[in-house]
Amino acid sequence: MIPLVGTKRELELMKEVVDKAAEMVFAEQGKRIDYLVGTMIELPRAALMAGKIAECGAFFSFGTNDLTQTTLGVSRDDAARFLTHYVDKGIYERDPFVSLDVEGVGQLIEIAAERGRQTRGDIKLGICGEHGGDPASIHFCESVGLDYVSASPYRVPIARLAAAQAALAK
Amino acid sequence: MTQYIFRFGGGVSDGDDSVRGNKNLLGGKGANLDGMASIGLPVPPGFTITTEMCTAYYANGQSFPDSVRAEVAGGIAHIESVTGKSFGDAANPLLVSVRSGARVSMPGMMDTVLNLGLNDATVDGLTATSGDARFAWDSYRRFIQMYADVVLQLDHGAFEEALEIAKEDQGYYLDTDLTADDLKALVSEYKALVEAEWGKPFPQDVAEQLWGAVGAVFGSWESERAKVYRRLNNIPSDWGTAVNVQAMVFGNMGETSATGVAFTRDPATGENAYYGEYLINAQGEDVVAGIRTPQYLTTAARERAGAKPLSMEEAMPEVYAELARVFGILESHYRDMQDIEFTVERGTLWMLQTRSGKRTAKAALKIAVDMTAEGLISEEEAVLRVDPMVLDQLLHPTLDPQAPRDVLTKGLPASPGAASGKIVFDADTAEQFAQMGEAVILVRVETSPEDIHGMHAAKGILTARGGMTSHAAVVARGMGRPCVSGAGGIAIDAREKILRTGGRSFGEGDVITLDGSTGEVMAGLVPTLQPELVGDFGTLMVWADKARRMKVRSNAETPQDAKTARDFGAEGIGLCRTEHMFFDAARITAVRQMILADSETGRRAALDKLLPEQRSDFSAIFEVMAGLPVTIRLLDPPLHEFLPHQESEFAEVAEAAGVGIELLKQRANELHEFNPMLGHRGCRLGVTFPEIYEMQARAIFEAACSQSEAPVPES
Repeated sequence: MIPLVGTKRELELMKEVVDKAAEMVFAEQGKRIDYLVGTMIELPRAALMAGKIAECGAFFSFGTNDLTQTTLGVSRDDAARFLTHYVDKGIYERDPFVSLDVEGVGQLIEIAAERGRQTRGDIKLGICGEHGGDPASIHFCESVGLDYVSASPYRVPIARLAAAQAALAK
Repeated sequence: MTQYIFRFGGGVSDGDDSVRGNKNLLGGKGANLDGMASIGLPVPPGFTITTEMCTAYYANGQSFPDSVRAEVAGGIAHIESVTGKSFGDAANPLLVSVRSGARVSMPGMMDTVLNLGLNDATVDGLTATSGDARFAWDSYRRFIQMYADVVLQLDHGAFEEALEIAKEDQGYYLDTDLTADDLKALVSEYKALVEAEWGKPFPQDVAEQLWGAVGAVFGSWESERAKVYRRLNNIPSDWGTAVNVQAMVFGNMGETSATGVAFTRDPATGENAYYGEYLINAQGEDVVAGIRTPQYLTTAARERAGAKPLSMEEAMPEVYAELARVFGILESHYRDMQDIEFTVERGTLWMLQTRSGKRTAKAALKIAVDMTAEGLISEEEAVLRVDPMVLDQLLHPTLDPQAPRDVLTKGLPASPGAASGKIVFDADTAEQFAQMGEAVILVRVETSPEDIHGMHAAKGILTARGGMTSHAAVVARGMGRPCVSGAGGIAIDAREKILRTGGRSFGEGDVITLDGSTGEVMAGLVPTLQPELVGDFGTLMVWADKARRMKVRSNAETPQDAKTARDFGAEGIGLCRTEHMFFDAARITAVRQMILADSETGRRAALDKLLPEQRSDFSAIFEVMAGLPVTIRLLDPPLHEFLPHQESEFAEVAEAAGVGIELLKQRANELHEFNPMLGHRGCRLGVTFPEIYEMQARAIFEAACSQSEAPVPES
């Protein structure tokens, strides 16, 4: 999986590197294995250009920590000083690094998912930010039809239960 | 015209299906009082003034429209006709309670007035109808005190003082020692106090009393304490509260009367056994106030606690049997564990409240699974009943609640779970201690990516700075390490290896305990309990897995993390970061040589040393995740993160890497970025130095080819 891709060409170049290494190893070992090359979607440009990027990438993984930082223009490590005021004053309903900003960041995910699928019907879509373990964010992932969520190990049971509730709520 | 009042009890239940059970309109308490009355349970008759009236009251400059006055009169007439008593009637007076009831329970936040309808004339009527002058005057005394506090907002200290003086004058110890005449004198004194403080005599008109109380309950919605509670619990201010006006029933009418609170199942363990307390000859506020020690509801609970005073089951067997029957009806009606308030008036049971009871995580699971087995709810409903976040409490070791705690300070509960260990002040020492089998707590002002190996080696992490999404917090949650961050009450001197807090100091090797679920930092070792992932937890998770569509994977970058994730049911790895593998103490030198090399040949030579290390990393993870997809992210952070930041480290690093110190400094300078998050990172590294990704890809494919069971791609 290639991080911080913003253009199709970046992914193309990196896929070449990976595919070349794979072919060399397969030739040396005399065996082949199945693999896919895909990309993180963590820049607004990548989300908007998802239709093009999907021509080259077999899967998207939404890196919502960075996608939140780059969409909101807020540095997570510097947000502590003002974010509580933002939540108190109702600017954000909840800390957007804890619970996905569905309205803004969520819209980019929806756009990317839709454009990605248009290009590649069987594209695999998942989320791998901290939000993958947050029940409200998991409900959103179900609503846009992502294939999987990825959470930190101790949050896996929470994600399993939240994903079930999201499916039942539909 | 909007209908603002809905009656309940005595065979009457106003409103159509859009109203009945509508907590948004009737409030939680009002909806459930009507619900209980409708299924034939004994509920004193009354009426609910809706939350819409509260909103209109505020929109109207805190006044009531005339139409409501007529509606309230109709509500009172309903209570009068069911009870056969009259509001304000000197011969057979009706007394009512006035209570708030918002959509969701806001314990202790809102106001209540009891015994309303008493005045100088009706107190004699109450004496006559109850045949108990002491009871009547005590009720009047309580009413004036409560009304003065809640409605007139006078200083309640003066009333308490008068009560204490009255007892002292007579040489009494308990309120119950006061005679009817003592109480009568106290009522006079209370009335004088009201007139002195309020400037007007205590209202004798019962209608005036009622409107005062209703206004006060609506007013309490905008009290400071209610506002704070709403903010903390995300309750919108435009919800408003309902008001419930209900015929009084008395638990303080002698030895055959009582009042109590109960849960239909144990809210701590979830055990299917009644759980509760009651007091003979008392009013509801006495149970809550803690003036008298309540007695157990069931004999089993009393015996388990080794308590002497009779349980309700023993003291009032017939009423207890009736209560148990009601518990059964309530559970099958609401299909959930209920939290109940009841009163027994001269041997007759009355239900005053029911609601879904708050419970621990453990109880939530047990109740959901048990109720499914009992046929009360379906598997899918059971899955919907448990808040996913409460599972957090069950997945980590927790502190033994019985153990004593010496709390030093409190920080933010950044990553749940409990851990004890010896204090260490840097990541390398953490790793050394851990390799010798010592449990350690890593204590830092704040953590950075260079501390990862120490955080991994530690049982828990404590930082003086940083919030819930600081580096320490995010990494600790990812690793499942308990973490307390932003503990402002501690001062850390990493050079001298001393942690100071509240006048005490701790050095390297001293044992502390962290509770990452509460943020508490404790001195010494506090015993912990291990999580149980079987039983009810396992059963519910099987049902959840049947219901869900999305796959659940895990972010994991070590074999241990991968194993934990798989044990917790992860269906693959969704994100395997590779940077921590570069920070490993055994490899960092080769990584730095790669960064410092000034040609592709030099970089490739360093990368060749890293290849076997990366290959073994991936092999180990593939082995744990055999048969499941593993998504590996190629190197992401900017290269300067791998170089030393402190002057003191440069010489050592330069020597290890075999380069001059000047070159090292120069290179570090070149790599410096003003905004690393948007700098030379991610695939930008791969574009400029493709050999790095080439090495990583080679390591991945070599590892994959060497597995007996090959990893499977995204499926």
